[in-house]
Amino acid sequence: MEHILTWLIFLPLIGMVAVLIAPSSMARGIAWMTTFITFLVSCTMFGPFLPGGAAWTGDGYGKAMQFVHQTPWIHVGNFHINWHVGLDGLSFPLIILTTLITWLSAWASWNFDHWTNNKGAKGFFALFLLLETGVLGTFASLDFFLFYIFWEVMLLPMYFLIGVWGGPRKEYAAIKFFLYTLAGSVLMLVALIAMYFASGTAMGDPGNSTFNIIDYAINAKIHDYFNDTTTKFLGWTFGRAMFVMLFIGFMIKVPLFPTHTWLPDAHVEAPTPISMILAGVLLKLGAYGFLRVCYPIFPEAGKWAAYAVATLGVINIVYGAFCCLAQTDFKRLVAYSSISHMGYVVLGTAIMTDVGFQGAMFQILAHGVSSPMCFFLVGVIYDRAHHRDLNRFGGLWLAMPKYGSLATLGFFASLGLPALCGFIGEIWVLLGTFNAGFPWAKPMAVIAAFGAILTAAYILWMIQRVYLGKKQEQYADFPDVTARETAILIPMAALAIFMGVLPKYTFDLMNGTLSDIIKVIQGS
Amino acid sequence: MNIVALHPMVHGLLPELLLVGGASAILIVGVLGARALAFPLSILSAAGAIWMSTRLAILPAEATAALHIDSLVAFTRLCTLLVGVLILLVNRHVPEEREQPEYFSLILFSLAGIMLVSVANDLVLLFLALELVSVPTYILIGLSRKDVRAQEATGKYFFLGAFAAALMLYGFSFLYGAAGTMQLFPAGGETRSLAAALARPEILADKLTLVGLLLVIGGLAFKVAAVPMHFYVADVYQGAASAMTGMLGFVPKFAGFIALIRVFSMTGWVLSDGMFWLLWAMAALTMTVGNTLALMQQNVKRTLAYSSVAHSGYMLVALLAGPGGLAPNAADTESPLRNGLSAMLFYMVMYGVMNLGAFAAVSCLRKTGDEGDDDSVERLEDASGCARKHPWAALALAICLLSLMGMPPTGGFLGKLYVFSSAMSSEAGTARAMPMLALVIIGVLNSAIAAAYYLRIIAACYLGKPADGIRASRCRMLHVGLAACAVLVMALFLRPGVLFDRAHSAVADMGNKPLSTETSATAELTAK
Repeated sequence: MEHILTWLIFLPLIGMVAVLIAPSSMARGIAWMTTFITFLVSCTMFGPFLPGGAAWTGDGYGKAMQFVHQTPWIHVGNFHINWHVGLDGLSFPLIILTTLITWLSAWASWNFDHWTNNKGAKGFFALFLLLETGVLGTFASLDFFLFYIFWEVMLLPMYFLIGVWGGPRKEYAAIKFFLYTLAGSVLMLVALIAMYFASGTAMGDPGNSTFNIIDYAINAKIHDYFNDTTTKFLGWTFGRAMFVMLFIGFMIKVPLFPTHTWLPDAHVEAPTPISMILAGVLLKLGAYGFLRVCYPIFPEAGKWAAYAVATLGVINIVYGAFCCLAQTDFKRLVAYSSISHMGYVVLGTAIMTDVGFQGAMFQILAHGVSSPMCFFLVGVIYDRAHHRDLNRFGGLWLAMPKYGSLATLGFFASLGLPALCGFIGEIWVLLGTFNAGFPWAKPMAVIAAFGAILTAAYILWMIQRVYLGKKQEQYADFPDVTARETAILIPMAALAIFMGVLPKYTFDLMNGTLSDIIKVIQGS
Repeated sequence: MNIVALHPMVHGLLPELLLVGGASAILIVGVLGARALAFPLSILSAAGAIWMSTRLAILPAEATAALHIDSLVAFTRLCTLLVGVLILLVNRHVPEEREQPEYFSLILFSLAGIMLVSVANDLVLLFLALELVSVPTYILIGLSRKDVRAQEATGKYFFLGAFAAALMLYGFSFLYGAAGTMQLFPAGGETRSLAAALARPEILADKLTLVGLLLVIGGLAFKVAAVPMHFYVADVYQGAASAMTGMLGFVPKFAGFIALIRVFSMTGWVLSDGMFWLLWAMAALTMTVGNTLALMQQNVKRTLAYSSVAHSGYMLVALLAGPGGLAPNAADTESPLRNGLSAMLFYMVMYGVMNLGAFAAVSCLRKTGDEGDDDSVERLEDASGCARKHPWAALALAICLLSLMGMPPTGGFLGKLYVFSSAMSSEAGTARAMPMLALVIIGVLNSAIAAAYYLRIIAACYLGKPADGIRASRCRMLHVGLAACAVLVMALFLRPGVLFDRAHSAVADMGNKPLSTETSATAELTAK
C-alpha cells in the first residue's frame, strides 16, 4: 500500500458515500464500521515510529517523513499546489488519537433520541465522517495550502453537527463557533499568500515559490529570509507579522484567552459525541498549528513573542480554573477545564525548549484522552437524568458503582493525579518553564503550578457534589453503565493509566521529531 | 473554418450576428404563433454562437478599425455564452407562455451586448453596446413578474440607468475632446487613438481627460453596482423575479468590468495618485458598505443584492491591482497570480455562476407551488427548514452560498485567493504596496463578516423549523440549470485551470505590451 496515508484520509469519505446511499437504519452501523476500520488502518502504521524505525534516522526535521504522497494538484502557470501528505512524530500520535476518539464517538452516538424519531441519522453520520476526513487531512498535510483547505473543510460539518443536533441554543452556539473560527482562518489566508510570495523572493526566483511547510522551516534561504528582522511586511518585521496572524488563527481553535468564549457555548449545546471530538481532537489542531507552523518557521518571532504567549497560557490555566469553580452546569465545567488544560500546552510551547515541547505534546495527547472521557461521562449521566445541574446531583457512586469508579478515574486523570496521564504533561511543562532561560519563566511556573491546585479544587468539589454524599431517591433506580458505555470508557481509561504509568512509550513516538524542531529553532 | 471572403467587419462579428439573428428569428417565430419554439431556438442560437466563437478565436485578429479583436474578446464571448445558456435554463419557467419569444430574445440581445462591449474599438460603439446590455434588462424585469414591485423596479432601474448612461456619455465627450478621436486602440491602419493620446503624460494629466475618466468610471460604477452608484440594487433585485435577478447579477456587471478593463487599458494602466486613491476608496467602500447593508437585511433577495455590491468591491480590488508586471521589481510577469485582471475575470465568471445558482435555488423554492407568477421564497422565514422537504435544492443553495462566502472546497474560495494574492503582489516594492495590502486586509475581514449573513440563510434552510407549504418548482430546465451551477462551482475548485488559464491568456499581454510608441504619438501630432 504505497499511498496508505491518502487512503486513510479518504476512508471516512468512502464511508460517507456509503452512509448516503444505504438506508437510514444502517447509517450508524456503517459509520461505526468505517471509523473502526480507519482506526485499524492507522494502527498498522505504527512500525516506522517505534524506536529504531524508519522515522528515527535522525537526519533532521522533515527528513524522515513517513508515508509521503506527493503529486501535483493545481498547477496554473507557475502557481503550484501539491497533494502532499506525510507523517512524522508530531503528527502520527495525533492521527492515532483522532481515529481512536472518532471511533469511540461514533459508538457514543449510538443511542441518540433523534434516531427513534427519525431526525436524520444519515445526515449526522455523513457529516461526522466528513469531519474525520477534514481532521486527518489537516494533521497529515505538508502543503500549507492543503492544510488550509482541510482546516476549512472541518468547519462546516461541525457547524451543522452542533446546529442541527444540538441543545436549546444550538443556532447561537453553531454560528458563534463558525464565525470565530472563520475570523481566524482569514488571517491565516493572508499569511498563507504572503508566505508563498515571500518564499519566491527568498529563493531569488518567483517560479520557486512554495507552499511546502517543511521547506519553510528547513530550506536555509527561505528560513533566513523569513527570520531576518530586516524583511518587511506592511512596515512590520515579516516574520513577526506572519507569526502574529497565524498565531491568532490557531489560538482561536485552542482556544486561548480572550478568544475562548465560543468554546463553552459550543460544548454545552453540542451532543455528547460531538463534544468528545471537539475537545479530544479539534482543540488539538490549534496547538498542532503552533508546533508545525508557527514555531519551526518563525523561531525569531517565537522568541520575540515568548513572554506574551506564555502569559496567555498562564492566564488560560488560572482563569479557566477559576471559571470552573463558578460553574453549576456539569458540561460547562468540563468545557472550562479544557480551556485550563490547554493553557499548559501553550505555556510549554512558548518557552521553546525540549522539555517544554515534550510536555506540551504529551499534554495534548493526555488531554485528548481524558477530556473525551469526561465529556462522555457527563453524557452518560445526562442521558439518565436529563439535566446537568451539579447542585442537584449527589450520591451517584452508590446508585451506579461501576459508573462512579470509571468517572473518578476519568476526572482524576484530568486533574493530573500522579500515575495518570494528566500528571506527566503538566509536570513536564512546569519543569520546562522553571528551567527555561527567560527571566520571567520562574514566576510563570509558580503561577501555573498554583493553577494545578485550583484544578484539584474544582474537580474534587465536583466529585463531592455529584458522586459522593447520600444516596438520593430520584437517582436510586438509575441503571449502571451499559456494556456499550463501558466499552467506550475502557479504552480511554486504559490509555490514561498506560500513559501515566509508562509515559516513555508515548514520549518515544514524538521525541525525535520534537528535538529536530528544537534544533531548527536553535539553529536560527 | 472556411468562410468565404466576408467583409472583415462581418467576419469579426459573426458570433454576435448569429446571436442577434437568432433573437430576431425568435421574435418572428413568436409572431407567427410557434411560441413553443422560442426556448429551444434561443438555446440553439447560444450554442451556435459558442461554436462560432471557438472557431473564430483562431482566426487572425485586428481586422478593422472599429473592432478590437484580441484574446479578451474570445474569453468574453465564450464565458458570456456559457453562463448565458445557464441563464436561459434557469429562466425557462419565468415568462408566461405568450411572452416567451420576447423574453428569451431579449436575453439573447443582452448577451450579444456584452460580447460587443469587448469587441468595440470606438466610443460610440462601446456606448451602444453597453446600452444593448442594459435596455433589454429594463424590459425583462417588468416582464418577469406581474407584480407592482416589478413595475417599481423597472422604473427605478430605467431612470437611474438612463442617468448613469448620460454620465458616461458625457464623459465620453470629454475624452473625445481631449484626444480628438473616438477610436480606443490603434487598429486597421488607423494610428490616431485614445490610447495613443493618453500615453502622453500631458494629455493624461489634462483636466479634460480627468473629468472624462471620472464620469466614465461613475457611469460604469452603476453597471457594476459599486459605491456610490449602488442605491438601486436592493429594490431592483427584490422586485425582479428571482431567476431574472440571477441574470442581473452577471450581465451588467460583466459588461461593466470589461468596459473598465478597456478604459484602463487606454490609459496604459498608469494611475495617477488621485485616481489610485479614488479607486482604492471605491473598492474599500463597496466591499464594506455592501456587506454591512447585507448584514442588516432579513430578506434573502435583498441580502444577496447587497452581497452583489460587496462582490463588486472584491473585483475592484483586483482591477486596481491591474495587469501586474508594472512594478519595478516584479520579476515574473508570467505569474498568473500577480495579474489582477485574470483574477478579476476568473472571479467575475465564478460570481456569475454561483450567484445565478443561488438565485436559481431561491427561484426553485416557492411558497405555493404555482408556476405562474413568481412567488419564490423571500423572507428568511419562508425558507425555514426547506432542507427537510427539498434536500437537493437546499444543498445546491448551500453550495452556492458557501462559494459566495469563499469557503473551500468551492470555486469562490479560489476566486478570492486569486484576487487577494494579485492585490498583494502586483504592486510589491512600490509605495502602493502598503495601501494594497490594507485593501486586502479590509477584504478578508469583509469576507469574514459576509459569512455571517450567508450562514444565516443556510441556517434557516437547515436548522429552522419547517415552514408551511413550501414547494419546489417542477420546471425541469430550472433543475438542470441549478444543478449545473452547483456542479460547476465545485468542479472549478478541483480544476480551476480550465477557467483560470483562459482568463490569464485573455489578459496576459495587457500592460506589458507598449500600447503606444513614441512614433505613434508623433504621428498623431503631425496629423494634428
